[in-house]
Amino acid sequence: MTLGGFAVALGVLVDDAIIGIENILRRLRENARLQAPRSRLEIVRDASLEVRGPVIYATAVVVVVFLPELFTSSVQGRFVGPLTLAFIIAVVASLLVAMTSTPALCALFLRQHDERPEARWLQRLKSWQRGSVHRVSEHLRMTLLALIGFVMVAAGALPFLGGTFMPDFREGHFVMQVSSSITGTSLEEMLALGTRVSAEVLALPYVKSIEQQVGRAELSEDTWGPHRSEFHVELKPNARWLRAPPRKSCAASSSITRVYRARWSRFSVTASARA
Amino acid sequence: MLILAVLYLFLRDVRAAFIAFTAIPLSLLAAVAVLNHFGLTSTP
Repeated sequence: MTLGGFAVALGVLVDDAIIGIENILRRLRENARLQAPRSRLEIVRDASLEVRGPVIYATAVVVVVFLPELFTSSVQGRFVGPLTLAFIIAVVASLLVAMTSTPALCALFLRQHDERPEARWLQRLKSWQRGSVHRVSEHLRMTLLALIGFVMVAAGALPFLGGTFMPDFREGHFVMQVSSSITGTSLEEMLALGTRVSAEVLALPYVKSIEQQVGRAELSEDTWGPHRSEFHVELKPNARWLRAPPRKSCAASSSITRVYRARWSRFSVTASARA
Repeated sequence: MLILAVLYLFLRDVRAAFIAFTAIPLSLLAAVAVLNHFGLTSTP
């Protein structure tokens, strides 16, 4: 799960460095236009000191948001804890990198005089954003009211959001156990029975394939004799019941069970299916 | 690779993009070093 934490952090890691580099680039560009340009080292130093505050705040906020995850208990905590820890450590490390190596690399490798202006589409985006910010600040009261409204709606929707640690799987696969009431039932008899069960199950429109497992291997985990048999039923991927809620799929399995109760009453076969 | 492409698109400077890109392996390296120091493995 630590690797999962790194994967989540991947997008966040560059953020701090980007904020620093963007500002350094901007300052270098401004410097190039001056009559008497200052040295690159000075510019890089001042520019990275300039955004030091925002970078630290941004990182602190990301870390604080993830901190409660560290205090989740039980299985969930064991599951998510390492991920969170790895994420937080990686983000803090990215802050250190952005404070130290990024400005140094900028000072070493960036061009002294970058005359090229920003890309035109970037300029257009920026002017559009500037315009919308102005418009928002003109109607500050309304913006605040809308914000409060949205927050209230979101908070009101909170109780209706379900939450489970592990969602129900709908794999479209059943393991069906069939056992004979007579303990000494032979392998041949169970195989014959299995052939009939398989034919019956395959006739169902939503069944893709079925396989029977009967008898036991020398060092098997299933320690029962040949009178018990397991069927693996694979359902068609687009079977309609797959999209239905889990209750429906239980009904489907119990209908399979009923089929066997009725048909193979000679041994009073009990078949139970689980997804 | 995608990160590099996006970085180049916005910063318009290959060198700047590479400098930002180095932050990823550097941070991960530091993070792994810390985790390793406290004896955490990738599969707890």
